[in-house]
Amino acid sequence: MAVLFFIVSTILPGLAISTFLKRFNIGFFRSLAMSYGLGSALISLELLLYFVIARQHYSDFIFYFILAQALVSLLIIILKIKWQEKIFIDFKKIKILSWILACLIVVILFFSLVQSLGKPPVAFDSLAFWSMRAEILLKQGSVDFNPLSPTYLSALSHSNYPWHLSFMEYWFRLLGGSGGQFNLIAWLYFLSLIILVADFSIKKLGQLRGLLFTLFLASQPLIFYHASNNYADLIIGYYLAVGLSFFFDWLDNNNEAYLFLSILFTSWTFSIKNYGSFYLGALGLGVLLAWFLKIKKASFKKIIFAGLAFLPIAPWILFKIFFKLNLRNTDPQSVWHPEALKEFITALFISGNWNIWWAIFIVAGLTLLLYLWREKRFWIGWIMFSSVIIILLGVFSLTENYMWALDHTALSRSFIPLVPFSILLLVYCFKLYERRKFSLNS
Amino acid sequence: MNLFIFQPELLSTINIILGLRVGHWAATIVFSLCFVILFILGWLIFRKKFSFVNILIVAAAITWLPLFIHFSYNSIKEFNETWFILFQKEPEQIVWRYCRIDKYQNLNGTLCALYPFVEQLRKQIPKGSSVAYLRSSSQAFLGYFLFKDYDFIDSLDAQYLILYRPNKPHVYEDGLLYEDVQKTKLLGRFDIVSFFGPDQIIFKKH
Repeated sequence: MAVLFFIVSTILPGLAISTFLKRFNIGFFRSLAMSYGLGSALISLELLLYFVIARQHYSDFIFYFILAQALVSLLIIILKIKWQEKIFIDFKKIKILSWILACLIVVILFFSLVQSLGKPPVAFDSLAFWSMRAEILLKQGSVDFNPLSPTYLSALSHSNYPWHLSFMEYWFRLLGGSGGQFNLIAWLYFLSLIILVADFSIKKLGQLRGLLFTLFLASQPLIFYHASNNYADLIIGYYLAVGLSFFFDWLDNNNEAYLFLSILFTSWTFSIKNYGSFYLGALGLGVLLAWFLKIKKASFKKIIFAGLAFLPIAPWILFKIFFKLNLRNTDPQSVWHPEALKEFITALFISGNWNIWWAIFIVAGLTLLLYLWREKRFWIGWIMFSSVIIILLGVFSLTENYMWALDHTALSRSFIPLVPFSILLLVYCFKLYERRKFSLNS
Repeated sequence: MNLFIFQPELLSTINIILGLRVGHWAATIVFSLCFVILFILGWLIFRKKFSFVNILIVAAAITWLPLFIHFSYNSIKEFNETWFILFQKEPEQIVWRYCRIDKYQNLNGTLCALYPFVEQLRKQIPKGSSVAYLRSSSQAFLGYFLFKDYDFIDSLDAQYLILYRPNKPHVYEDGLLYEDVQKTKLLGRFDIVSFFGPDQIIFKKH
């Protein structure tokens, strides 16, 4: 029952919000992919406002409020979704090879689901940070704001870590969840990410090629592993992917709502892990470039409208500023450890983390450069991607974080969000290439 | 290189996944080179008939396959070995998981013995007691599992002191606990509540 209530309480509000976005031509599958992310972010934000901003003690009000929210959402969905509309797949149009690819993706999802439910989270970050905070909040009933207390900000260590995943687990625990069920939090993001990438890729490149890119994502061992381990990195990957899918749509369409949604989702990565700020920086760079290169026209009204998308993350940012919580876990001093750079090669090209994805990505990127070097949108996407790589190189070779690169405890995980980023970027660039080729031929 | 090699809890580690090797070479490097060669050949031969995008995707799919087979083989074997655990209770799932990681990653039993120790501790120490633990790499895990039932304090004044696989060997002699084998750093006078081995002891403040 806990599982059912958890899924219903997160997905229904998300779907209900999605129904209001219908006029922006988002499509059924992307709405579906967004729903869990939106709903879980909503609950996380509500709990943040309740426990951290309003500093309230636990009350049954939380339980009834979220349940009522789910019921109202259900009502909205029933009233707003026109069920007679064609939202399902036309199975007759699916090719045999596409069926095979789709089946492989479904089997991978099933295997990861079994791993999720059978293997309770036991790894260090999961227990020591994310689950621990949920456990502390559950036991104490409110957030400990005494800076001298060992459970300051409901954490035994790393009190500067964001709350999203802990709040999700807290809510799951309130509903009676236990053991491997907590892995469903990450697994549902994995499922949503797969749906999102499939929808985006199929729309840009067609059924077969779109599904192949989705399989490339689902079958990368480290991505697959993180779908069932209550860690935060894949969750960042999900929010980033939704945000970027809207960013690429914004570049192609004259609709500022896409930029709003892009900022909304990308900025939420900051409430999951501190390094979500890297992606927010990359998005900011992309938006500035789009305005600077005159692909998009900036106006005061548009900037204000886009700025509103930061509202959900504002309480967390203000809380961080107010409580002087920094972004780093190590000493601020700068160092130079070039030996850490070698580990980038190991993590990206020698380990078994990603099959051969990064080789494909680099070769495809270099080849696309020959054809698209005059295309501004191509440069924007690749500059955004490169900016994150440069930041990661800096973080792991110029700061005390170099040790986490040398012992490979954090380096590979930092690349997890870059995998959906790179897939969406490549798919988008292929589409740019084909559109350009088509227009030249015609 | 054997693609059909099962790597439980070794293929899958939370931070990095070990890659296969082809002789002295990493398999990912070998297949990446194969991809580049296949793509170049495909482009040279088929570039007039197919777009470079399709040639690249086909080359990628072909060279993705070997490591995908390895991944699939491991996933199937893993499913075969683990599905039964779905129907076990949480403590059994935790013990099974930790022992499995311990076994395949050669962790000297530290993880495997952790949860049975936690369960013993819950039987021996009354709920709500104040507890402290001696510095150990398993401290965070113990803290998580025991937090609900006990009041953890970072002080030797706690009612109970837990020694579980400490970072440094301790000495207990005549009711006195020392932090080092030279017996220069006295931690205090304690009674043993439970003894599960020299590195797994529950003490009570004398």
